[in-house]
Amino acid sequence: MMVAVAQSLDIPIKLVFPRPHDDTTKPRSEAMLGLGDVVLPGIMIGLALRFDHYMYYLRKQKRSLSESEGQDNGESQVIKAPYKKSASSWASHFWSYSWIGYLIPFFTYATQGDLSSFPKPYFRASLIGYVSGLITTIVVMVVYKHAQPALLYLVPGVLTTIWATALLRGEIKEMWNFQDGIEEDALGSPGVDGGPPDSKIDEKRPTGFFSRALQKATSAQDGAKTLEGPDPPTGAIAAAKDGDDTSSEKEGSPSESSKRSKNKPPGHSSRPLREIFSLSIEAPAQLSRPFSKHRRNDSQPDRDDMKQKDTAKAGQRNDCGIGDGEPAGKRVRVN
Amino acid sequence: MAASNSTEPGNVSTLAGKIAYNFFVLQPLLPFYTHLISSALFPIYAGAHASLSRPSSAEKPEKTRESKKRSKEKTEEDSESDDLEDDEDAPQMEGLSPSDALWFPLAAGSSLVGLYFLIKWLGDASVLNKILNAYFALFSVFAVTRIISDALRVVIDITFPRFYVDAGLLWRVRTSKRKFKAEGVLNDEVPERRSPLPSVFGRVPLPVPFLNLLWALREILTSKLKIKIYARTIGNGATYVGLRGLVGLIVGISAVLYFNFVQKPWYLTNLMGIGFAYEALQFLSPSTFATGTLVLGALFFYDIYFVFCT
Repeated sequence: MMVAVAQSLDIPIKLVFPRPHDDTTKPRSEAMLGLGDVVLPGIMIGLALRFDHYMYYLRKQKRSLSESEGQDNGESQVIKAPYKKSASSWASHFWSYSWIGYLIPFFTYATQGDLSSFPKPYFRASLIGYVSGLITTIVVMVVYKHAQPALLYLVPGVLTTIWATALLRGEIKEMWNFQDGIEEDALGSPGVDGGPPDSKIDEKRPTGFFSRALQKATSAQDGAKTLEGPDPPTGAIAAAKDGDDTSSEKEGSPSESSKRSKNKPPGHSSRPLREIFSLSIEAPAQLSRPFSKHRRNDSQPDRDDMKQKDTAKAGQRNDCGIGDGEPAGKRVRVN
Repeated sequence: MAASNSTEPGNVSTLAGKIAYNFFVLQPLLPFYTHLISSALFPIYAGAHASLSRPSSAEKPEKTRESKKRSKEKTEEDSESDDLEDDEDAPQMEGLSPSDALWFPLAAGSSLVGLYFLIKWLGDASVLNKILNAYFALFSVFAVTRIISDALRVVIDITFPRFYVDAGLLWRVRTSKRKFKAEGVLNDEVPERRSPLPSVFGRVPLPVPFLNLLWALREILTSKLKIKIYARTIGNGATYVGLRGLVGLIVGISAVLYFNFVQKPWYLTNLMGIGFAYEALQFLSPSTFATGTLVLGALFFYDIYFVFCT
């Protein structure tokens, strides 16, 4: 049934791979792999990677006994290691600490520790499980010449490798208790080592994808002013977290509308103008005013990565090639 | 020696012969299978890494007013804020709960059965295809945009990294001054480099106009516009649009248009499928290993049933 449906529907719910063959007159037969077979074990593998990331920082945590006055049981506080944003500096890490950096035969030394590499035992194990499951699927498919449910082999592959790794490393308890990071603002105060969250969450909103989806649907009918939409595309419009404007979460809950309306002071009817619609486009500072001679104190809440201005730009002209880029008519006064 | 004079090949050689023959049959298909496995692995690997963000066991960065003031008072000697890209990419994850572990196979099964009977009843699935394609088209645009722009980001970051290690020193970029400055040097003389290229390539002395061209190219490729939109009854939105995002958007729109109106070649299907998987892996998550095990187990049985028993 599944094969029939997948083959007759032409939507991108599967990956297709044309088989190589010599007879160009016949149409190519294709092998098919459903997207569910990629995504569902994939979310498990992603969880394993996040768990590795979490365990790495967990091991770096230090406990300090803070002796508060008048208390005999020194309450231990956990000092968390500062988070090094690893994902975005992958490329820089590549040039610094990867094997390319070592191939080029100069000594490298770690200045700030390893920035983005952390040990990934669970991730690697689950990938190995996934690949072996996939290979098994292919072998069985070739031998029996019948379409195989890939999940039949992938699920045991991924699950046994993950649990076996946990068993061998003795980390079953941490793995069982690990809670994937949902936004901490929503969680209130989660447990110290990522344990089960407070019961506050249950009151705030129901967890679970389907339950939240149902709740969204019902609250939309209430006509509340919420920021909702058909599964908002994550990349395109994100909520702005401005200090002045109202902030709205992407998922939108009935509490948001009350928050937003609270920002307009309730009894303040003498406000002359209300902003109905605005669209603003902001460019990085350097593009807009490249010839300013003052350092621009950043009054904008957004942080462009070229906000730092050249104060002594004129002084730089001697040793810097920038001068050639400026049009001839502009001159910057030397301070 | 009274050895067995049989001329039949022994068991071992027969087995070896079988293996050799099967490998001979398999060999032209090896690139095909490699392609299959790597196409399945790529979105998983990339999506899993893209979904990394600050775990709950690491320290929360201070976002109070004091820390913002402090960061503004930093002199130019301090490192530039490279938080811009990180902020916009913090993924918002949808967690699956144990109740979803039960929902999932039921929902999937019923939709599959429904689709099957619908196709059988309609006879010709073309109308259904059109409707479903229209529904998927919007999401496909975003999925392809995202994956293309992220791939471009990797390429651009490799060519123009923000810091690198060379000759035992850590070099960090000063974009406003268009040079790389070394850190960790004990004496007062801090070496600098004019070239935006990383590592040993940064040592290559290049003519100044060419260097300016490279820096300008770097700025064009990495700078972003921030677009804020506000509508009173709808809400607030802001997004960063850069050259990468535009290229991704163009590729996405053209891919979807070609897919829907011209023909459906396998590589476009794969591009969209991989894009979907990449996106989904960044926002779907079984919150705990137990839930994930439940979901996978339920779908394990669902898959067997629907492929073999129907």
